[in-house]
Amino acid sequence: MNEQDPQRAQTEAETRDAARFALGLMALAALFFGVLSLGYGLRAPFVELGREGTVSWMFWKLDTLDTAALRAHPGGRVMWLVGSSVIRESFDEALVNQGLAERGSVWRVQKFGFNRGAAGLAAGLVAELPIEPGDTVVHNVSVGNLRADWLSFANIPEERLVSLLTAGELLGLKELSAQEKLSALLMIPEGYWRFRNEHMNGLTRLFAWPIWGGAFPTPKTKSYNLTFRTLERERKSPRSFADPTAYRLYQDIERTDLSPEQINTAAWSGCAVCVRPGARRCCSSTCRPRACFSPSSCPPSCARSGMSGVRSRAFIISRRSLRTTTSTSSTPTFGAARP
Amino acid sequence: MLFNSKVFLLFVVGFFPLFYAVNDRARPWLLLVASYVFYGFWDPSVCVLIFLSTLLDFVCGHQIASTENDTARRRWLGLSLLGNLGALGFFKYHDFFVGEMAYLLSGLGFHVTAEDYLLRLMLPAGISFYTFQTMSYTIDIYRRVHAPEPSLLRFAVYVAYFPQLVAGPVERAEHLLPQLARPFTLTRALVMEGAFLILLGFVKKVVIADRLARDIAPAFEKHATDGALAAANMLLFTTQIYVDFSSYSDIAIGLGLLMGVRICSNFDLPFVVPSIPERWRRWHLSMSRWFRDYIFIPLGGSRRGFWRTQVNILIVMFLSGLWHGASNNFVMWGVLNGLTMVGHALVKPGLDRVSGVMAQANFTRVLYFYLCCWVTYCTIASINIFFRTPDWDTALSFWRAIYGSGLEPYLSRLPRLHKLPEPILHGAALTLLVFVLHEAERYLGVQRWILQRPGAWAVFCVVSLWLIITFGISGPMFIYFQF
Repeated sequence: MNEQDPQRAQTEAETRDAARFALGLMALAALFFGVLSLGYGLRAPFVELGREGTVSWMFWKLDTLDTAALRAHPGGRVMWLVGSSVIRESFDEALVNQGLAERGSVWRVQKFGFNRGAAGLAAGLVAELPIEPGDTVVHNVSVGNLRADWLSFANIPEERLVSLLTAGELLGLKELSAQEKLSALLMIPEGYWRFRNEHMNGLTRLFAWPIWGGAFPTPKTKSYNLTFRTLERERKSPRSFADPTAYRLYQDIERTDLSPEQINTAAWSGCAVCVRPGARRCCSSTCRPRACFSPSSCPPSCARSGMSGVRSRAFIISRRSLRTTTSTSSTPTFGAARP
Repeated sequence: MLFNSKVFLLFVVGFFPLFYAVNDRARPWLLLVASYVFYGFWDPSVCVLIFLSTLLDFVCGHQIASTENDTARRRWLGLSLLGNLGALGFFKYHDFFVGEMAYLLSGLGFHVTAEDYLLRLMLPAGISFYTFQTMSYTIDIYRRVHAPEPSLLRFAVYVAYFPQLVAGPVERAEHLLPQLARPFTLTRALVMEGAFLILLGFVKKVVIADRLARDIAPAFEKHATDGALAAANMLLFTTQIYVDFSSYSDIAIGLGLLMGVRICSNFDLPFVVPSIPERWRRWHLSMSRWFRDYIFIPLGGSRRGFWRTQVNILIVMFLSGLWHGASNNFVMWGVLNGLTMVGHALVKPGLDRVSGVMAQANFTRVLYFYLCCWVTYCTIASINIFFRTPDWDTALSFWRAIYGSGLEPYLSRLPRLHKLPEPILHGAALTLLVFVLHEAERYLGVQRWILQRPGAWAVFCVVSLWLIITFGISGPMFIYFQF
């Protein structure tokens, strides 16, 4: 045995101890993260204070939905309007329901429109809805549905994918690369990743209150993402066709033919499958966007035609088959869109 | 793979237990595989390029060392430089030079369109860093600074060592290779320092840099019209780039320490400095050293008189700008940095006299110091406009708005500073925070103080972790990833 062995042994022991220490620190950090993430969720206090995400508001609405009151009218049927912001900004849910009640209709509507709510994502939300036999689910043909690259086109954040789709559905999304799927599946615990921005907003509101003053922050119960109104700034300065950035990403009308390549039929089937067996049908229709959104929704050539020349289709999807019918109307038949 | 991503957290959780569990023979293999997984996660094809670069420099290094024939040595060195600079030029500069040539030729009356010759290749991440690292290896062997590395495996780890592969620091073979060659040793002190730096880096990134990025990004997407707002955004970007880049280096050094490896430092408190040359002595140290040792000194350094020194400085700064990116903006950024350094050298005797007068009282000395720091900061920020803006026209619009609109836009806002846009106020608060922490480190040595006290270290770790979790990892990528 030479003289250096004890020293080497000591170094090795010290190294082993330090390695255990490092791994222990990592385990503690993971535990700390796990404990902190318990404070994140749909109804967590700071999330309530800072809620602003459109999908989060949808789930909040779903969570607070009084299904008994919803079906208290004669007939008790519900038409679920699920889709993109076009749905959100085309129908005044309260006004439509008031009109339906005055006419003694068996229908009421419930609106779940969220930003970039293409069929691929709407399917996830449809699966969460308390659909009953006889109900109808309506999904609009949003811009995202007209593109094969809808996922990257809409630049949908991972947290939204995880919010709306199950792990199985994520793995089945052919538009995602293996790396992106892995990254999305790593969003554990889900509550933390889904609501961390809102949690942060809530904390910011709380900490900013002593500095900036004003009323003590309390949870909001109404949001632009739920109610029928346009942001003030949109009202004041509607996007103009003169601004080429307003429609630069959108597909030119000449190339839009609503062919199977453009319509995400797999996602549509997903929507249809989610509709419970007793539900009558799941359908879709194009909705003409409100004037201030037109430049963002279609290119100038589309505007020149006043949308009237655009052939629109309504998709009627049953659980058994996927068939397409053509409609000449660009507005849905069950409720008038506000001009 | 980005440090600030979920996948990287999974990578770390999988890597370190394995790294500590395996023996010294298996450890380099594990490091190599991990580094290639890290590098090729999003696009495995880039691993081929780094492997070829590794192989080329390994062979060239051995060939240079194996002969005393100067011509042969020069040829092997030339081959290494050609391979590295060729790859860099092909992937990074081809389209830029084609575009500039087409512009030049069309100016001379030739009908040439660049579009026909553009390759539009994806730039492999970190290529600017690792090619410089491998070039320094062969150049140092040529200069007989060190012997070639006998193990291809170890050399491959040296080139692809994942903590510093993508955005530096640019390591030197004589510093990193011996650390990779010796048996793995680790102490609790190293772990504490490593954890401290990793957490510090992430806090800097998610709490400060990402917030600043979010606040100022919209301003740089369009031409500037409001001088005061353009100036505010320009100043905030200089804070952002410092915090962003130094946070990457902190995380890289911290990861190295957890493996028992001390990567060279990249920053020496460069945020508050009284002159541009002083700033470059403290900023991006590894790259500055590279340019000093392999370009500035071979050009003659400062040994050939005042004006030759200034020319050398201009050449180095021009190349530094070009290294950062293949665009006119980066070239201009480098040239302007060089010109300000030359300007400083010209006025230095006068500044020294003023400094001597001001040093007579403590108050005036400190006042003068911070005045110089403020002027330096503003100068750097003005030059950084070319770094941040997407094109030449936008950069010039910022300069016109800031310096061409007189004092009115500034004076009119002075009485209502609190009514500046919220992102600017946020950014100003964050810049003030960075300044305070920077000066606390300079005068109080806060980092050393914390590391010497386990209690303070534990509190720092808990608070940092809470901040990181709250603000959330996975924001914009590090600025220097694009190089």
